[in-house]
Amino acid sequence: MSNRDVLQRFYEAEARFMAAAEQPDFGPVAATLHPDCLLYEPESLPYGGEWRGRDGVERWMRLFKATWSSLEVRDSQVFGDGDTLFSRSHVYATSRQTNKQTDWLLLQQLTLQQGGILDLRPFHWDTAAILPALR
Amino acid sequence: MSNEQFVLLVTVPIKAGCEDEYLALVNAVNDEMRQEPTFVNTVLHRSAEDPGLFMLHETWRDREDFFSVQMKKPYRARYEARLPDLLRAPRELKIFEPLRADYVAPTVGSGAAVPDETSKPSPVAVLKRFYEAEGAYMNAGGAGGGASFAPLAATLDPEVVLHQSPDLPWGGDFQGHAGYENWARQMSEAFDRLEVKDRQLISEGDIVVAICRLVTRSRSSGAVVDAPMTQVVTVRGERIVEFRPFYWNVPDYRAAIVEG
Repeated sequence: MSNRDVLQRFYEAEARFMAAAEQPDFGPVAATLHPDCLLYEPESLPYGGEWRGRDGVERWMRLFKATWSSLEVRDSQVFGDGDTLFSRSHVYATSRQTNKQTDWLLLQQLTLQQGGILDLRPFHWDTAAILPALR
Repeated sequence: MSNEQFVLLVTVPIKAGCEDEYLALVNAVNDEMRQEPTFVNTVLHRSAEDPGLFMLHETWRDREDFFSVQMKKPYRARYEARLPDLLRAPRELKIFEPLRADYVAPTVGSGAAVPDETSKPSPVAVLKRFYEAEGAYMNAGGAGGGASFAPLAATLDPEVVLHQSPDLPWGGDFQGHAGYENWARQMSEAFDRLEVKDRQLISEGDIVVAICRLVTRSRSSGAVVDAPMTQVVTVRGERIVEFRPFYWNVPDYRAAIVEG
C-alpha cells in the first residue's frame, strides 16, 4: 500500500469517526498510524499542543470531535510521492458549543514510515480567525 | 567556475530483476540535477541487446564543480548508497571533452541529446530563482534599505497575488509587483531579523509546496518567533502567479508585533 493510500484510509477513517455517534471506535484510525506517531496543533487552538502515540492522537480526536459538531473536508489535493506528503483542503465546521459555522484552508504536512503516519502537522490558514466561532 | 564543458559517459550494468528499482533511483536524481546551474543535458540510454545495461550521457559546464559540489549533493545519497547492491559488475565512468558537435534540428520525440535552450524551467527551478533573488534583495537591505526590486520582480508574474492570513499584522491580499513590494516593505518594518531554515520543496504540476522554519525578530518588541511555516506557490511559465503562505500560529505574530 502506498503512502498516499495510507493517507486516504486515514482521512476516510477520520471522517467516519467525526460523523459517528457519541463514542466511536478509534481502531480504524489507529490502523493508519505509526505506533510512535506525533500530532502537532498550534497552541492557540482548544486542542493545541503535541499529541504522542496512538493514544495521544485518540485523545486529540475525541477533543476535536467535542469541539466541532460537524466537519466537512472539500477540495482535497495531495502533493508528493515520497515519505513526506502535503495535503491541501478546505474545511467547513460547526462549533458544538456555539453552533457557529466557520471554514478555513488547511495544509497538512505528513511524514509516513513503515505504512503508518508518523508525524502530522496541520497548518490552519488563520488560527486567530477560527477562535471567534468557538466563543 | 571553469566553464569548460565536458561529457560523462557512465555505463551501469544492473542485476536482472533490479532494473525498475534502478530506473526509479536514477530518474529521481535526474529530476533534481537538471535544476543545477552547471548542468547542460543528460540522456539515459538502455542497451538494445541487454535490458540490464544502462548508459548515462551527461554534459556539464564545470568539471571541478561536478566532482567537488555536484557529486556530494544530498539528493544523490540514496542513489549512491543503493547502487552497489544493484550492480552486477562495476560501474564505469569516462570523461570526454568536446571537439566538434553536429546536430539536426530537434523534433518532438527525437530525444533530448541537443541542449534545448528554449525549454521552460520547472516550477521548482522558477521558485529557486525567486528565492535567490529574494535573498539578494534582503541582503541588500530589502525594501527599507533601498534595494532594487527589479531582479525579484523578474521572477514574478505582473498579476502575481500574495495571500496573507487576514489576522496577521501584515494580513491581506497583495496584488502585482507593487503589491508584493508593499508587503516586503511591511515585513522589513516589522522585523529586523528574518531567517528561513531547513527549506524543502515538493512539486506537483505547476504547484510547489515549500516547508521551512521561519525565524523572525520583531523590531518593536524584540520578540523572536521560531516556527514552522509552509507555502503553496503556483507557477505559470517562468514566473510565479500566486503565493499562499501558512503560518503556524497567527496569534504569536500578533503578540510580537501589535502588542509587543
